[in-house]
Amino acid sequence: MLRNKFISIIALMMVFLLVGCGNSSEESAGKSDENYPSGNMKFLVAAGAGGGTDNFARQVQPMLEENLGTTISVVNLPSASGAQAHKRTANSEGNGLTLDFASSTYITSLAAGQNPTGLEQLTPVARMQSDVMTLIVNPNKYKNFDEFYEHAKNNPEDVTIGGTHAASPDKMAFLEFKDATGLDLNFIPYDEQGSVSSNVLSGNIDGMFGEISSILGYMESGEMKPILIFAEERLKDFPEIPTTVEKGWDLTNGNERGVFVSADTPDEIVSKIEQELKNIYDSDKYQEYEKKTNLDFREGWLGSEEYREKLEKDLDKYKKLQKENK
Amino acid sequence: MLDSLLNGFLTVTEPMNLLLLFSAVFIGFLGGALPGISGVILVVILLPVTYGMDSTSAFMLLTAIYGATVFSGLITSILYRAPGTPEAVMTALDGYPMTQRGEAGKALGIGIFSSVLGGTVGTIVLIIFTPLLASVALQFSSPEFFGLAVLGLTVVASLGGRLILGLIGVMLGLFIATIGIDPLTGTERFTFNSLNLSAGVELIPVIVGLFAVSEVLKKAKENDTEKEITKVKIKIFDSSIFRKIRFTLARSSILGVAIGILPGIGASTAAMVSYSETVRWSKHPKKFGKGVPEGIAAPEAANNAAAMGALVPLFALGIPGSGTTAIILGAFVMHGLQPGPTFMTNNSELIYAVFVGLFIVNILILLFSKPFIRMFSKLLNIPYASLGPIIIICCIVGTFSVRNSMFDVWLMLGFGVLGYFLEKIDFPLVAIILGLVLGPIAESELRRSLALSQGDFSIFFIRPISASLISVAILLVCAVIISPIIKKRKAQKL
Amino acid sequence: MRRNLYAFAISIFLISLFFLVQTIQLPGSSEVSTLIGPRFWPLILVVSLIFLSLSLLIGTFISNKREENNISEEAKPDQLIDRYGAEGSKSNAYDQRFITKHRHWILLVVTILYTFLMNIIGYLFATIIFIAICSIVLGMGKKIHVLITLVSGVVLIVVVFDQLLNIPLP
Repeated sequence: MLRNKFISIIALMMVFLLVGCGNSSEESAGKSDENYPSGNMKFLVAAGAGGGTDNFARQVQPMLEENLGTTISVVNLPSASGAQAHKRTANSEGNGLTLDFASSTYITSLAAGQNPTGLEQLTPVARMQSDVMTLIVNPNKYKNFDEFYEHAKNNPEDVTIGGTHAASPDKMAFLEFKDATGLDLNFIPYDEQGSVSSNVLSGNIDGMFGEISSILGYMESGEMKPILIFAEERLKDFPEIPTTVEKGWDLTNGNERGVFVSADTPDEIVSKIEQELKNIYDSDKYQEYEKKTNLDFREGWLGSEEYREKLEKDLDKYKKLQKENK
Repeated sequence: MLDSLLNGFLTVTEPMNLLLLFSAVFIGFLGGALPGISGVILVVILLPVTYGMDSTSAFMLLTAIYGATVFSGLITSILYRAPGTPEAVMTALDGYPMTQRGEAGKALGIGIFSSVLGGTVGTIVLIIFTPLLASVALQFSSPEFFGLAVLGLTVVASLGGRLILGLIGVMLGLFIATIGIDPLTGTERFTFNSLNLSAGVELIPVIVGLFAVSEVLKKAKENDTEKEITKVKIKIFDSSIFRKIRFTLARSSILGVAIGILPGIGASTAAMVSYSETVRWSKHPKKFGKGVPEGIAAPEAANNAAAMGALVPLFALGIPGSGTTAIILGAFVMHGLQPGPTFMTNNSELIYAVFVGLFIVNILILLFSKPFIRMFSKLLNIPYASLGPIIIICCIVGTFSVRNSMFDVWLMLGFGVLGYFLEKIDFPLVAIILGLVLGPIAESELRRSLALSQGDFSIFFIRPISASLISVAILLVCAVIISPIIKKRKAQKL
Repeated sequence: MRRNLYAFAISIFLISLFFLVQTIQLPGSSEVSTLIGPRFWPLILVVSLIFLSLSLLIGTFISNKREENNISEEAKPDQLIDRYGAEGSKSNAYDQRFITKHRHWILLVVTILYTFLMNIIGYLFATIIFIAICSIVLGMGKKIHVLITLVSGVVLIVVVFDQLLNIPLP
């Protein structure tokens, strides 16, 4: 009886060895852009399902599948602000088959020291979305920005702003805003955007930093109101809202979403992917999606080189802010 | 409103939509019954599929799956003590002992009946009161959530077993919850520079490990070669049981909806709180945990009601009430719908179709749960030598799928071994889960409240809701401490 | 049971002590911008864990003493049964008993190996091997049963997980 068992176990081991051999002889991927993509692709999304970054990746997925004639699997790696997604992308083979879909959270968490994958380990391919940051308040509390500003100036430490976690783009917007205006404000981080909104609605906190696209419904019912836009020029759709630049503060950063690959990827492949993404970006279908989700307030596209410059500049700025406010 | 409901009814009863609902319920059954695969994951997986559909069908599909998974978590919870979803953890407390006594059919019947009742109550509340309740939910801010979490933690006193072990369990759970990046300051806590730990410890690996894997290990040790064939006969409605549990059902359904409506607090918390309330109101609290019908009815009625309740703030305010509804919210955005206070008035057709859809889902659950469960319970008669490995495989796949992380799988196995040892000293394992679920709420909301009040503790007592929640919690704690003393006095007098 | 309780209390105590050291190193309330720092809450927890584990230790010790005085006789029947049970199973082959007695640990080791193998040889093949070994260890007699389990396991993975639910496999 027992001998029988041993025999079966040994037999199984043999099977396993055979399988192992079969796997190792798989041919390695080619590296020139001619036969790119050299296999099935993988999108690593540095955010949870259903969020803006996830929607972005899943929108690009079928278009890229069609254009390249390949299969793409999307994997969400939301933990630790997406740090896992960046790490895995950086460690992936430099064959351009693993793309990292990330938002500005990548750079803000890097600045806060919560993300070990630096810009030297990843190559930015393209920025495809640039959302506009706004200061949003409950109109029952403040009718417009001047009222808010006066109140905050006269009552230091009285005004509380909510946001999502401690190293998020909205936290950075808060720090930038505080730094530029010299106002004395409090910040309370919440776990999710919904909690921030509900606290603004109920008046427990004074305001939040966020994207216009996420609060259109509340604007319609008059329960939330953007009072300041982080941009150079006023938005076409909201001409009545003042901008930071006209107030004399050079704050224009919003939440940006882009695509990254491992730093080992050869330049030809990077530019090949960049070209493919550009084609998608220019397509009617993609533009329609941007319009539908209200991401078209300003130009989103930035090529590989410019995007890297932008990220490096932001990183320095955020690092400085983070240090000053420790 | 009746008009809209009728319209919704007509939309739902289109053959294509009915088929959709049917398949949604089936997928939800299957996913919910597999340990580790919760509603969140299923909704995520099906999200891309819905992009191609029209929005009404898409949201009917997503909400139906959501409803069905919350229900079917009870199946494996009762049969194998492997909670299919986090919501069903409490159900295992009394459900599994009943299975061990050979009363699996009775336990499942109570579970199905309570679930459907809770779900229906939840749906009715959803249909009638959504706009009204949403504004009440907004009254809940950090101090109130802290109060609720403290109240939830007092559940530990009613878990049975030795109180001190329960307390240690809760503290352990609370402590495990602090691992990771501190949400308020971004400080890394107890991560030992590991990227995996900085993300914190997920609930599912802990639940699957502590309950399912430890049970497989225990069973593996036992000799079950001469296993008697158990025949599971499910009787959904039994009037003698119903008479016993009707108050429990009513209380738990209402409590469930109420807790579900609060943003950020989900069906798992609802099940825990309602279980403890049931023990507290019960005339024979000592019997809980050994397999009483109320112990199944309470969490099941509550979690299904809460699942529906969680949709209230989503529809009325665009604020998700739980993890799964947060993803459904994301889906709204993808379909170009603007969630917010005007959402209901702007999209009444879609909303009422979804409401009617949910109603029908409850009926489908009632109709199809029996054959589906019968299929599952046949597995009880399979020798454990085949069942054991398959349960482990499900656990591994389910855990992995939560975050696509191998680390979580290792964590799950580790908790499995821990659970095996803790069982040996009759440790109330649920206490750890309790701490883990309520820990983040308690800590961050305490700190947020104090940030709001600028360090003034009186914030908890000025606001009426938080004041009453916290005083009730304090009273309960005092009662737990004093009641044994009084009993002792009485005993001495006699 | 009693010995287990001691072991539990002591290990909780030691773990808490270890984390107490860790906790103290966290930045306190005065060093960060929020009013209550990241140290406050874990510190409360760790201290209460230390307190609880100590009282469990003491409590167990006291009740142990009391029971030793009271019921030294009641324990005996149990032991008798134990001895009887052990003798009963002696008739089996020694090896067989070894597997049966420790099979939950064997199962655990196999599971751990399986989790490792998954990454090396692929999920499906690892699973086939895992199911086969496990069912044999757990005392599956007939080969046909092993085969049935194997097939149903593979079907479960391919059809339910991969096709129907489209879950990403490791």
